[in-house]
Amino acid sequence: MDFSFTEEQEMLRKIARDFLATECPKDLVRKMVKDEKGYTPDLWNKLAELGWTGLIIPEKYGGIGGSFLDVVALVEEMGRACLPGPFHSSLIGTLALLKMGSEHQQAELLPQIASGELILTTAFSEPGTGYELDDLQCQATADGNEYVINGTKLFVENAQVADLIVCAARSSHGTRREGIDLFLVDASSPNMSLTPIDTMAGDKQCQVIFKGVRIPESNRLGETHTDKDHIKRLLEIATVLKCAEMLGGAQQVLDMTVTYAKERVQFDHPIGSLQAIQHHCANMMVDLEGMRYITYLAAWKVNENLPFSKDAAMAKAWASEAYKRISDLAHQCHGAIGFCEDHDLPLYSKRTKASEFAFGDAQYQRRFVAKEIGL
Amino acid sequence: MDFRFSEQEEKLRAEVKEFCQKEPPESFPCEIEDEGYGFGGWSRAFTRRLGEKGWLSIAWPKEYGGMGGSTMERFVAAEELAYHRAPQYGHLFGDAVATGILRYGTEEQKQEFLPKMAKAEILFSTGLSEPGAGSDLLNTATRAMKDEDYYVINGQKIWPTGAHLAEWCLLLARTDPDAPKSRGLSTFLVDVRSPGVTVNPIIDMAGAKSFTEIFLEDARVHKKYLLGQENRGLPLVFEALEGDRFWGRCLRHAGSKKDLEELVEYVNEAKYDGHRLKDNQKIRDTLAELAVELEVSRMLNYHAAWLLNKGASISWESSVVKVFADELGQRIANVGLQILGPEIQLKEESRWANLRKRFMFLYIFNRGISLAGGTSEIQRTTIALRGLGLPRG
Repeated sequence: MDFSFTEEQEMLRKIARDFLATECPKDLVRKMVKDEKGYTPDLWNKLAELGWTGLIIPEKYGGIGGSFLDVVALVEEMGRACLPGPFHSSLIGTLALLKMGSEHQQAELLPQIASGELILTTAFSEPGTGYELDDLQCQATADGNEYVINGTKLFVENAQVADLIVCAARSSHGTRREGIDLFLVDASSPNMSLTPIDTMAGDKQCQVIFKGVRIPESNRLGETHTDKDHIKRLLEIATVLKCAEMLGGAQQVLDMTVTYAKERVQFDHPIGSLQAIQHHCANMMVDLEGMRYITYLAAWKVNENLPFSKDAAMAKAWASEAYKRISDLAHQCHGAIGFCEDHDLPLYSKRTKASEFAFGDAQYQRRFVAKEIGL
Repeated sequence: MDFRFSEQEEKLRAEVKEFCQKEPPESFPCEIEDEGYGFGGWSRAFTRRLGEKGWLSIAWPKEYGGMGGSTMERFVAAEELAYHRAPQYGHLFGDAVATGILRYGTEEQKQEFLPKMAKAEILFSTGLSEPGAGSDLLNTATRAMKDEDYYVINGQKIWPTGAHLAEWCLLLARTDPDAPKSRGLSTFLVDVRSPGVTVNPIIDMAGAKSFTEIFLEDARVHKKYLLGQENRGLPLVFEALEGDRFWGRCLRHAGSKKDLEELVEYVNEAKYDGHRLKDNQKIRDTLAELAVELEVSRMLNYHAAWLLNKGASISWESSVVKVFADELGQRIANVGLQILGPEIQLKEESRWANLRKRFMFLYIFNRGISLAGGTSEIQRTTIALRGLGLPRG
């Protein structure tokens, strides 16, 4: 039993924390909420220079060849800093390429991703389907050496700045559980429309409509009619990474609250000396500790190639609700000042809601858990 | 990061599992119906059998009758015992005392007590709370006055678990009434069979006789039974409580796992109003939620066990463990009773009658679990002060 990160991982975490504290101040985060692109190429290039866009990419493709737990440590820090931009969404696309892409596709694209030139995103959700692959409607119809894609995708993160969209679509009329493939779609293809969705957090979620978008057959990831489980695994890995990001955010929310409770004086005492506030903070701590270890357990299993579907679902079921409770109590402790638009807290609490739904909310995860416990 | 148990730990787990299957705890003669923690009847014969196996003293040094193993091994064995609903009294609650003796005891005390404790020849209870000193231990009024080679103790203790089953008690008493409240307390190893000591069981609202009260009237305790230095008893007590918070709660996920498994089994089979319970989305969601929370509890417990195994302090982590486990236990009991509710009229011969009985007991008994060993409010204050560094009020 060992709950600790390696020395190297701790160092990576520290570097990330220090770097993001300087390079990603909250004013920048706030500015990016209103910015059309939602990120600055300057900061993106610095992330690439640090090797982070290629952290999970093997060395032979220009990456660092880091482990999944390395990435988890980094993503946790990014969550803590509320880093805006396409890092997370591009990472999921990268993982799709790593898990399912052909050697040719990997050799061509991974070096560009590692260097920061190429930004990816993924398109799974559709109106009315959430992340339930069984109900996927988007079609990819074979036509000679091409596929023609038709359908509507929702919550495609950072599609406005992505170069390639990894799109899940049905390529055959098999049963519900079969016939889904992933396709690399050039984001500047004709017959495609991108509309930003007006979300609560101002994170960049888009609706993407494909109306007869033609892509070469070679843009299909891997062999056709991929085992649906592969795509499900990918979504589960993305789920674990989302939990790590939420964990970092929740830690920051608690830290901000404790700092404030020590500084804010009422009735001649810091409010942090009042048991009502202390117990709010203690409840946040219990929720946070739970998030931490249940997330690390799932992440470790991914890292070790052990079965992790149930662990990912449990982690996200817990994180979705725990983070929400933490944010709510943080607001209660901060009082009116935390209600202001230019305060840092709403940056996190609004993202809490976005994270809750990403890759399936608690109820969605628990539907899976119920089956896993034998119901 | 590595969440596997070691080969040695797994081997021990397998041995304990095999033992529990071959010699189920419930097959031993029962001395009291329930020692209060929902694990069925308590039996000294069973506890002695654990002693024969060496499992009462896994992490103690060999020279005092221990196995020389690790805290993690002890945790693994205890986790497996809890899953099989083995009673906990005597193998967990004695340990805070053993740890105290190992850390603060004289060589003579170690030689006298530990080998006997390892075989369950003697059992210890812990006498801390008093009518006027519950959460506020510093208010301890029980008085120990030096009289040549003896201390003469007068006062009253309340809530010790199983003092009526035990021969000895680790007792907190005031030796210097003039010193500041925290500086005048000492701990003693008291033979509760000696003159001047009366132990009465308290029947709790679940009908269990697990808690007791101890009256001390001119009880004479030889000075060789002072544990640690005179007037320096408090650190020892806080360490013992830290251990109690952890060991008293760190296994609840294992016991509750079995409860949940049986509930799932029931839901898969039962019908209500012509509908199968397992098709009820609310029930499915609720049971899945409990499974998630049990997993959270398990990981919180593993984390604290890992810290403890390294020799690190778990001063606030043990409070996280306790508050979460206690409140989860209450939620599970509540859900169980809600689901089993329609079967409330079950006849004794129903195969589910025992499950219902068990959940009824848990529902009532778990009201007390968030009070015993420090209330949830005290735990939350500990987390806030020690874990988060918030200022004292």
